[in-house]
Amino acid sequence: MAKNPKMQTRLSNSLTVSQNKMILSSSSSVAKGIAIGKAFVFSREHIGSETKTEEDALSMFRSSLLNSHKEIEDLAKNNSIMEAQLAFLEDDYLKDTVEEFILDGKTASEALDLALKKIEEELLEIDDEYLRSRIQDVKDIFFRLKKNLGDSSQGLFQGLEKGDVLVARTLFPSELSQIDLTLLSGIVTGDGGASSHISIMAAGYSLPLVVALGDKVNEIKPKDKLIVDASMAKVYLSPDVETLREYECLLKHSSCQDDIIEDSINLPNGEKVSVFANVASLDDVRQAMRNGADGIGIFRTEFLYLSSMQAPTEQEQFQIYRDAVLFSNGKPITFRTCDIGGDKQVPFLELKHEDNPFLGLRAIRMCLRLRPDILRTQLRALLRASAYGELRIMIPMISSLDEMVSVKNIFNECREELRSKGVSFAEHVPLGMMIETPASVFLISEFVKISDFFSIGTNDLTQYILAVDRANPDVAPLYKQTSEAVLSAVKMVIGVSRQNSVECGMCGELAADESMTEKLLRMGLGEFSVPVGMVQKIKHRIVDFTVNEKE
Amino acid sequence: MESRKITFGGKNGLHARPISSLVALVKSLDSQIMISTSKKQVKASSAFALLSLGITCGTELEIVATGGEESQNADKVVEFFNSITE
Repeated sequence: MAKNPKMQTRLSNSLTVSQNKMILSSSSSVAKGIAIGKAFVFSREHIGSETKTEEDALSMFRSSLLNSHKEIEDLAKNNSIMEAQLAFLEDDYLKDTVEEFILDGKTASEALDLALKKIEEELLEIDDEYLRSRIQDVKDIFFRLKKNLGDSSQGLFQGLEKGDVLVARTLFPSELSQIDLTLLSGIVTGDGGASSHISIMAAGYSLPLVVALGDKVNEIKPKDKLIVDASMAKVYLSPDVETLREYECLLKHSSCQDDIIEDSINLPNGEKVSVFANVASLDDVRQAMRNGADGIGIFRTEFLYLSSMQAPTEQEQFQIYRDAVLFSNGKPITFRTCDIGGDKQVPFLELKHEDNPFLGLRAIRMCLRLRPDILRTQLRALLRASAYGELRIMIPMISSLDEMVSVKNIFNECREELRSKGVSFAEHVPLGMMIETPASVFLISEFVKISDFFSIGTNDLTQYILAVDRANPDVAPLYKQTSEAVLSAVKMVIGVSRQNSVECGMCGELAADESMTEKLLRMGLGEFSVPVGMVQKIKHRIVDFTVNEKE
Repeated sequence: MESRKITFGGKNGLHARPISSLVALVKSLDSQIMISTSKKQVKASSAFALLSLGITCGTELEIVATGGEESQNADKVVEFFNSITE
């Protein structure tokens, strides 16, 4: 009958009323686990009122000041330049200047712009060129203040408390990226669409997530007690005492985490295996370090582009990259240049509609063919951040040698440009590429000569090798990262890389598949990059493997 | 009121890092400390004001301490400036 099991279960979605007030079930749960908490019902209705009072502006500015202070204090633990910034942030002169503009009727954001302009003008009078160039530090501080203003000015998540379950009809990644996900205990959405990014983010924090509840999500009112059972794709609304007790028991049991393995693991043959984290924000980086990741295997930079109405500036990007490098505590961090275009539409690019976005003008293709300036800005910002720690740059969607050569040329031009301006950056910044097109697999023996490292992106690679659109439910069951075709491509890439002593990692879902860890280790994979919440699980699988091998 | 005159000897000028140390020192003292060059006089507790003085190697400075242990505090600030060589 129904060939697609997914469709079948969707039909059976029901709203069961039992002793519990209500059980809402869905066909789709992505991140597993259990959460118990009160509902925070997300709505966009109360925002957008631009009639902010003076008092609002003042409190927005003060909370930004506080948050920025906390951030810089954290960053200063690893860097003395950041420590110096604290003295400026704490200077009453800054506070007074900004507040004066606010009392003059300006919004918090305008007041910051005007205050920066005023202070900048004062500093431009300095005779000495070196001291004058310290204006950069001041700008850096104001950028941060403005960024943190953004967080609170949205007010999207006002009233959210630690341990809440986030409930929303629809939720966009840009919205979710505005909150500290460690505050949440789980997420429930009505929509299933656009859920892939949400699920990546949720998985990163091991947040139980149930999506595609449909209209049933409207039954949930603010502060309702909820149990989210993502493994069963069920949400219990106002559960009875018995159910609650049962789940509390389960939760206690499952949170008994194994010991955290902090270091990379040595295999019996003496080789070292690292487990890195996949991240998409600064908060993710901090969470990854708390979870004992050996570094960041992929820092996705799309959020910088998706959430803004214009291309992010070099300075904005530099600040975020630099902060990420410092938060990594001296561990390596790999940034992937922007993978936008195609299905990830960005307002300011005004890209044409495409019938086949996954085969279209996306990622490095878009950068090289349409907007090389975007790539240059990003490469300069990344190079500047390289002065602060071990940073690598990775290019997505390479499908020909020419593309990689073009990127290398642009990269070298950016280095020269910075050098001529006297800007400092690390002498050797590895430039590598994702292996996610079949073309890059077939050409791997050529790419080893021009790429400093590889990371196999199995999510896209699988869809291109198997010619399956995973978002299409009719063919989704055909999408298997563990298919022999994909595995033989993976084996070939790892093998050729090893022969040529080029580092090769993996950052797709396959790397986080616990049942595949042993197989990948036997192929010789030395770097796993997985969602933050999976780091310890994969480390434990690797330790299991080494123990078994020794016996 | 106690006043001292010195010539600044730091090679790179009074930049962000020494400024932050100076501000921390000044805030720990019980005197109000003012610093002046030939152009202007500022409170030594303000990082922005100190930066705006544009103190470079060879700049003549006057340090003025008012209130509290004036003499002792002025000496401490002088000592701090003399310790900066870079």
